[in-house]
Amino acid sequence: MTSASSTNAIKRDDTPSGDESRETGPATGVDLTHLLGTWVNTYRESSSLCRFTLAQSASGYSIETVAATESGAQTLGQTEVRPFAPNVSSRKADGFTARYDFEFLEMSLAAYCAKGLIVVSQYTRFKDGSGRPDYFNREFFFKEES
Amino acid sequence: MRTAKEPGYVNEESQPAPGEVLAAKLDLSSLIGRWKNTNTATRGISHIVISEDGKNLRVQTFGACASNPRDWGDAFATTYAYSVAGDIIAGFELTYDFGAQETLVTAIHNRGVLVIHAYHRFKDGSGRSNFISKEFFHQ
Repeated sequence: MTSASSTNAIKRDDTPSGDESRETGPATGVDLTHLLGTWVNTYRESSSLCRFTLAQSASGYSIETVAATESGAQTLGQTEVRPFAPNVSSRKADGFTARYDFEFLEMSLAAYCAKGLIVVSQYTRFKDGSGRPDYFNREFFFKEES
Repeated sequence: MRTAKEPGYVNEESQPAPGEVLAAKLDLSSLIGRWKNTNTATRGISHIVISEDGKNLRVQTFGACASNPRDWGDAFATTYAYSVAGDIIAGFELTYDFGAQETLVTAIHNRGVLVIHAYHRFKDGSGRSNFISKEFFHQ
């Protein structure tokens, strides 16, 4: 068995296969520009995330999320986005992660593209000792027409 | 063991639970309107228009074509609830017969997304494989 440390990989997916043509692009970074814009929850009665906007930022990409609250839709602010390609030979993002830390609550977002939708899985973890269980949900977003 | 040939006993969920009241009418309102494909570059179904016609659901489907969407025509769909006593529409199905090709369209609604599977069957001896496509639609 090959050790992970000798190949700098822990699984076959971590190295480009011979038949995958490597996309050209900068030495580092995954391109998210085709996903920039505002994405709207397909479920209008959602009690979670209503919409989010992906934008470029000084450090790369950011997300601003708007959530449904008791007093209406409110922004949760901006945070950094980490884009992910579908494989190690691609530079075009097929998903992203982001994390919000509100001290009493931490929310991680893990998103991927599916036929024009972005499917966002949301992991909410409570740090306030309230006894509320950490929970998971998943919602669907379509691109707002500009 | 019961057999499927016994009337009404395909499985447990095909029976109302004890005390469960069957719905007088299915609420179709959640599906009424125009549904657009989330994939603007689709080669399958570009959009569908759903309306209510009495107790029936009328569905008009538009195929993606290079020039303009092709109107497949409108027809009544068979509607489905989430359970035997359900009163809210969960999905529908209908079949289009184009002569050389027959297409079964099935749809299920999930949190604002209409997931449509289209089963295309060729009857013209062209050798094309029957195929299934799965696409997502939003309002």
